[in-house]
Amino acid sequence: MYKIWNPNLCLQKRGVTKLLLVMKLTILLLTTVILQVSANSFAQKVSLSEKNAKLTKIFDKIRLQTGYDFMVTKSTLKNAKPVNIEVKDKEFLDVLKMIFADQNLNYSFSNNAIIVSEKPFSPNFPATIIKALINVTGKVLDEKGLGLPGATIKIKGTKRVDITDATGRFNLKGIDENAILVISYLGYDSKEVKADAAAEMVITLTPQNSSLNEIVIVAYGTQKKTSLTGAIATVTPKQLKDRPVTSIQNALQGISPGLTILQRPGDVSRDAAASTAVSIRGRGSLVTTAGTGSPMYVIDGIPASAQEFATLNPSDVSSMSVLKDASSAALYGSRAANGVIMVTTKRGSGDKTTVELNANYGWQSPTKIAHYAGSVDYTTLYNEALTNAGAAPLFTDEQIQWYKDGSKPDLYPNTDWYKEVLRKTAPLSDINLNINAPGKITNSYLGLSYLNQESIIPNRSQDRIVAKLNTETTIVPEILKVGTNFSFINQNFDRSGNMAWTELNRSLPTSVFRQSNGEWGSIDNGKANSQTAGRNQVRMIDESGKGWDRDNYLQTAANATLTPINGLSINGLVSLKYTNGNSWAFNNTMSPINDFLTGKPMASTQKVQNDMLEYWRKRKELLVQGTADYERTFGKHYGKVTLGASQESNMYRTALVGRKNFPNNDMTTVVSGSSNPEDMNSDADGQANRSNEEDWAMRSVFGRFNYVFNDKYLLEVNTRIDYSSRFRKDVRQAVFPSFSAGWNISKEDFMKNVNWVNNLKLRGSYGSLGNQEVVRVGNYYDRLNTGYQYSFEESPQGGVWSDKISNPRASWEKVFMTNIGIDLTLFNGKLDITTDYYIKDTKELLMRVPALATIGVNTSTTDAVNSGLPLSNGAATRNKGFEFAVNHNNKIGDDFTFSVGGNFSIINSKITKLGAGNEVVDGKYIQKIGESIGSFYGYEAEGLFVDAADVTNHAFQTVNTKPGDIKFKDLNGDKKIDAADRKVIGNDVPWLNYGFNINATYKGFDFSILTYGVAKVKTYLSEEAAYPFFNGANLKEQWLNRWTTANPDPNADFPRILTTAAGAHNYNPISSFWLFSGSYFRVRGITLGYTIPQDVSKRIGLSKLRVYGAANNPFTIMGDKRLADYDPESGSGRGGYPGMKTWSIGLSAGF
Amino acid sequence: MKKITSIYILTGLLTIGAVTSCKKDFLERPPLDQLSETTFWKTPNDVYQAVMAVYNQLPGDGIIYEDGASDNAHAQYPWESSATDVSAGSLTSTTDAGWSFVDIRRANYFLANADKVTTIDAALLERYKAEVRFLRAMFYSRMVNKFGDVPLITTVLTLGQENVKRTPRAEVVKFITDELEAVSKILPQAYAGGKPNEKGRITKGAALALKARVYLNEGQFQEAADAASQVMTLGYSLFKVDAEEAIDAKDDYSKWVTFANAADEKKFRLGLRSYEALFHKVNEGNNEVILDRQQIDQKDANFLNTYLLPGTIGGWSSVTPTQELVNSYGSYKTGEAVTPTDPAQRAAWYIAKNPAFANEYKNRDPRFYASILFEDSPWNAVEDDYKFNWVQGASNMSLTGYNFRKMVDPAIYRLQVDNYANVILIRYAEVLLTYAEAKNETSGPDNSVYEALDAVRTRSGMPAVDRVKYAGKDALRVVIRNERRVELALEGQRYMDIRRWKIAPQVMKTINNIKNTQAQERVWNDRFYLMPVPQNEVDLSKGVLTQNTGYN
Repeated sequence: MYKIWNPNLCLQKRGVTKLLLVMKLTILLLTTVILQVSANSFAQKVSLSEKNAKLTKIFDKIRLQTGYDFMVTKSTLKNAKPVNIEVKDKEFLDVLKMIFADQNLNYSFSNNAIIVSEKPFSPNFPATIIKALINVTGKVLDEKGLGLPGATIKIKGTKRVDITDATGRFNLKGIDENAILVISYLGYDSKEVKADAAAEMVITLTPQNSSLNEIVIVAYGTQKKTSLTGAIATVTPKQLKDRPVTSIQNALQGISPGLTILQRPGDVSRDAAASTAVSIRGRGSLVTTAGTGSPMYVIDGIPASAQEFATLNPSDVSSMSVLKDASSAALYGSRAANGVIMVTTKRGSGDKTTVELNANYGWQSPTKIAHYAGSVDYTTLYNEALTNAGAAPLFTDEQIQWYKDGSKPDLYPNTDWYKEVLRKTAPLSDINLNINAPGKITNSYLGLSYLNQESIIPNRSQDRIVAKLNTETTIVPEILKVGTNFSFINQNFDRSGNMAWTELNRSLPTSVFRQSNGEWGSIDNGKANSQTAGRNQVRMIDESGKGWDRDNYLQTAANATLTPINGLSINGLVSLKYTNGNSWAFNNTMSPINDFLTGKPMASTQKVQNDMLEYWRKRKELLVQGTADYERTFGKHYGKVTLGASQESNMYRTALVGRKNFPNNDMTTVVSGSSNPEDMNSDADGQANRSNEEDWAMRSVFGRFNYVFNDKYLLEVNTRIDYSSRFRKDVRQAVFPSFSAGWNISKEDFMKNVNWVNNLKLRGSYGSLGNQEVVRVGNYYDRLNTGYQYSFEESPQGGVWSDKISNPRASWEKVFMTNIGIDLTLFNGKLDITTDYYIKDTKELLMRVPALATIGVNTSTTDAVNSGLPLSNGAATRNKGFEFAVNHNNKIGDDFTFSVGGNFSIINSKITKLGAGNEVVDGKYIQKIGESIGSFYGYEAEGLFVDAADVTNHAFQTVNTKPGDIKFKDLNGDKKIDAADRKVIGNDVPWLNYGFNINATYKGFDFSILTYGVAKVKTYLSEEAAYPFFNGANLKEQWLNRWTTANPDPNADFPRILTTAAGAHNYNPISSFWLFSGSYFRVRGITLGYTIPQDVSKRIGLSKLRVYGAANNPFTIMGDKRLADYDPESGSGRGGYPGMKTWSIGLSAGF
Repeated sequence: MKKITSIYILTGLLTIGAVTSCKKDFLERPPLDQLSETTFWKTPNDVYQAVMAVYNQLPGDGIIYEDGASDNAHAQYPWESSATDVSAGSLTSTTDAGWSFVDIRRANYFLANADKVTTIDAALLERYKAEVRFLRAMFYSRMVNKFGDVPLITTVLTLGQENVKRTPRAEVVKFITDELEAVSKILPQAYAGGKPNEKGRITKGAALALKARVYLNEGQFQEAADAASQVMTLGYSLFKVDAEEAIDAKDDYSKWVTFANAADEKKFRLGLRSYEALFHKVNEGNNEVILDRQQIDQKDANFLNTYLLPGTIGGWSSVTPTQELVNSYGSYKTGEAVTPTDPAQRAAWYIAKNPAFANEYKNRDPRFYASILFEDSPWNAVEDDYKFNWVQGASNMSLTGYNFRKMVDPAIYRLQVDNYANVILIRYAEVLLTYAEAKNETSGPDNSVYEALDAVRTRSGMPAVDRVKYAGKDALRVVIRNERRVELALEGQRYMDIRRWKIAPQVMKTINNIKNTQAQERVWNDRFYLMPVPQNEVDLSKGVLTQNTGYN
């Protein structure tokens, strides 16, 4: 179809309306994709075969083939000549040229239409708007100086559009002499230039998506991505904008190999950080205490806790960097051994104030949950276990029949305790508002968010308010800027009662939940039982008490940047963080449960004493830091020097007060409790009425030198010197140097003609980092313990003792890391590849050198709290890793754009030194030179014994060994199974981590999917997680597939069933039988969103409106079917809060 | 421009000032919630507190597991103690039966440092040291009982010094007994009370009584008898009550005992109560107690009420009596052993609820009723109208059909707090029985032997020993051994008794419940006379520590 319109706007009103309508429609449909369409469509082919055809007919045919409308007035066409044309599969542009060759007509592109006008332009316009017209020619080049065919040239303020030809040239005739040309091309930044008729214009576009010009945040500064030499993964503001995420963890997810984010969206608790484990390049330390192994977090230049990071609102984040290697992290020296995650938050930018609102509401439910046997299976298998142990069955056939038919629910019930106690789903909602306000003098950014999350345990929830205010004020333009960061987090956690998972897991199906008279269940297997009655977790939640936590984090920071002369900038930063926490718990008195059979109260189910505990915590962190940068360019040389110093101090003080015997259960403060000395309440740590304090401080100086030659050769040198109060004066200082170099191969002359390579860079770095977190405060003092020890004459007495041996010379752990990497960008940014190989040597690793029990202290080498052995710098590990990430961005057709990414990392870890020894066996783990960290040590299981002959013929295990027991391999062939037959049987550190992600948009729709998987990893399950009837508990349904005399399958999932109290079973010896494959592949997140077309959202006053649905952890494929109830990312299978998946819906609106 | 310059200067000063203007000792951060050794060991109170930390290591309610590892009782939970494995015979070289020197180090640490305090009265310091030396000797006696040869360490080892050879048992025993002998001459017979002379501290009597026990365990009967007879001169007496509590009076024993007359009934009831109440809070520190672990309300209670009672009344049934222990209680009427019902018959009667089932529990030693919860046994003190009924199978229930009531404090149970009665570690009845056994073994029965035995028996209302029937050394040995088993049941002595008498191979047999089905399969191997040195310790010592026989 072609449009006829009359240019005489004044006379033909009807035509005007029509024109406006047409334009409106066109714009409506196509505004969003103008540039892409015009750029791409020039490549379309056209076939025509016409003789003496009317031009309008030709237009129609072309429209059918290309989708382009022709906009033309009748009067324009009155002089048009008929067309003779015979083309087959010819370029559309060429065809157009042919058609118009003999016509006195001009044509130009506008949106999806071709505007046809008379040639030369009509001179009939009123004189007032006549301007000087010029003809302009020029060419558009890419970053390599090659012509860009199909680039769009738009004349600003008009509808006039042209596109470049196959050599990148354009030719615009009769345009305003002051016209501004807007040149754009897919994948490149648009450029505006003034039309210039004097000479051929040369316009060079710079690629946009290849992120080469990105500024990335690095330690104490920023750097251009092109000049980076370290292994740094970045999340740009654009990425954050393009990929809406609901949590900060998700924003990091899948951006870089080697960065592992395990989300354990566990129970609500005051510790939000606990639900996510972030690690960079695997485990290095042998000692695991809280905080070791987790990266350092730096938010707006200020070291932050995992907690602060976890509570960050993704919409407040401007950009993030993950510093993976020694060179990039070196300036954070002593705490960067496990990598650094840096975040900058928004501080007001752009050209107008924007307000954005995001809200979402979700439902959490368990990914996997334990399935315990019902009464019939429980009683039948219990009888079997007793029979296997040589004892008589306990449950009679009659009783089992009652369980089966449910005829006596008050005596022989079938209670599903998980169902009675837990909620199926728990809501989660999150709302945040941010105001981005740029100003002439002060830019500001305000972020507010509110989170409310409930637990699947009833009456348990947390809410959190986060407020963030950042400002940036220009005091003296170009010279002095002052910024502030305020953030405030208020977190409340409330619970009713004390739900204990171990108790829930021990609840038996044969115990009544509620009797028919409405009272709490008192009967187990037909008889009153006050133990099982008292275990009722619903009663515990309803009646046993309540508690809450109130935590407040306040951070205030001010920074100033002074730029006295060009190239020199001096920065100062002062930050004060103040944390105030308060936890409170009240345990109620409880009335007894009545015996259903006799009606009499069961005394031990009563609680006659109530008590209260209240904790106060306060932390003060002060950071003062100054840096100076000087950069200069001399010809092809560029150099930059950064020097800085910082000082930190940290004070943490806690107090506990508590009493017992309050007049009733409604008291809220400690003062109303009994003041008798014996009614002073205490926790596991000692007595109430106490306060503790822990202080540490650090001082550091650091410097960095960057040198770039001709944009091709890059060099960086870093050094940091740290002094930490954790170490004695003589070992307090540590120096952490690093070097790195890069080669931008793509900038070399010999690469000039390799069009499809946009960027190729080779990077290498070597350096050292440190770790001080393992050593506890006050390490080098001979500390004595104090606290209650004994009593005489009913009077408690404190005591003083020494149960820790000190090593005053314990010092820094040091990481030496070598990294080689390649960055590759191909096909105009359509393909991005980053790959790194590294060797991470951790030396002078702190370990507890095993000592014989005769030393007289707790000799555990792994129990950081109780071990009396000192840490000494004795061990070393070596992690080797390979990381690969690939990303592909593309579009199909006009509306479908997508990016597909994949990454994997392989980590191989080995212990290379272990003090003076070769190996340390600790429980089921072994640390052994040449073996990986996290190796399991035990017997190799060879299936199950089939029959008595099998037992006799096999090497002697124990006198109790029977058919159906686990058969251990006789490694040394001495015909008996003993300690010498143990070996390394597996490892709990995943060898391979991988993930894929897809982001796609189609018209207003956006879709993203994130996946994550690990392979070659084992999990050891024991106790409640694996054994039946553990400590009087029920058993899990997986046990239905076990070894039985009727089916003596040597490969059954589980051995012959025995109660744990029957000492005869061989479940306990550490063996590969209980090693489960921990491999899994998980869909981490799916988001599907739809952005309402802008003209619709505008009508309701919004600049943007997007609705979306999201799922977290919706699907998981497990490597081991026996792990039926085990979420692979939950720490242990012993039974606790299950892993969670979330389905949510949300909207985000801009004003 | 002036303004700008001043801003430069100000900012510069601020930055430099902030970074450098700090305290001299900015990086010196001593631990604020812990004492440092450099500031300790100054005052008499420092010494007092350091002594407390050694007392802290005294054994307590854990002694019941020693019986759980013997034929007296069944310790059903392997995670509570090694007793389950030890009794089942499923222990291996990796089992840790208590190879620990933590308590010993605490004592050594005290002894190595106490002399630094010069402001303390010399005699008091000497006494403190004697108390700690006693404790160290006691810790070593536990090690010798379990492992035989053990490294004898009397100083505070620094890292690198700890790879010490095992000292021969005889040498360690000599060290223990020498120490006990030495401290018995320093320690007072009794304490006046009040800080720092509180009652409950180690006395001369405790030193001598422990010495007697150690010698008895080593089979050095003459020395054992000598030490015991020294204790017998110190004025201890067996605890007796002369009236029943009102709540106890409600227990009806006429169903269980055929009383000859009211006097007989009174003798029975007071005997039972005397024996039972000996362990109760209200009678703490009575004249029979030679050493007890002090416990206090809430702050430092023991878990005996929980460990021993059945699940039906909130306990765990952690350690429960065996049928064999039940069988060992003699006849109240004759004082002689009884013939237990045939197990199959007992089971049949129990299952059929035949009244004949109860006959077995009639007319037994009053200590039986004071120690064991058996079917239908009354116990008003714990709950009004309470009668024990065995619930089989469900969690926290006995596997044998019986629960212990000895060492449970029913009055505290009613308060719904943990039992905070002191746990008696050495009492006079043990000394008397040690004397009787040691004397009988050295020189055969004499009056002093019978008197010691009769004192123990008659306190509980039992008839005196038939001096005619048991006139011979061997015949009396049987009586003495059974008396020891009954009187000291659950007090932690049986573990060593069956070993030193070499009867373990005969008595460590699979135990059945009252339905005559298996409660625990047990096997005996002679290597179990001694516990293994934990294999990882042997490995780590690179051959310096040797393993006990049979565990390789």
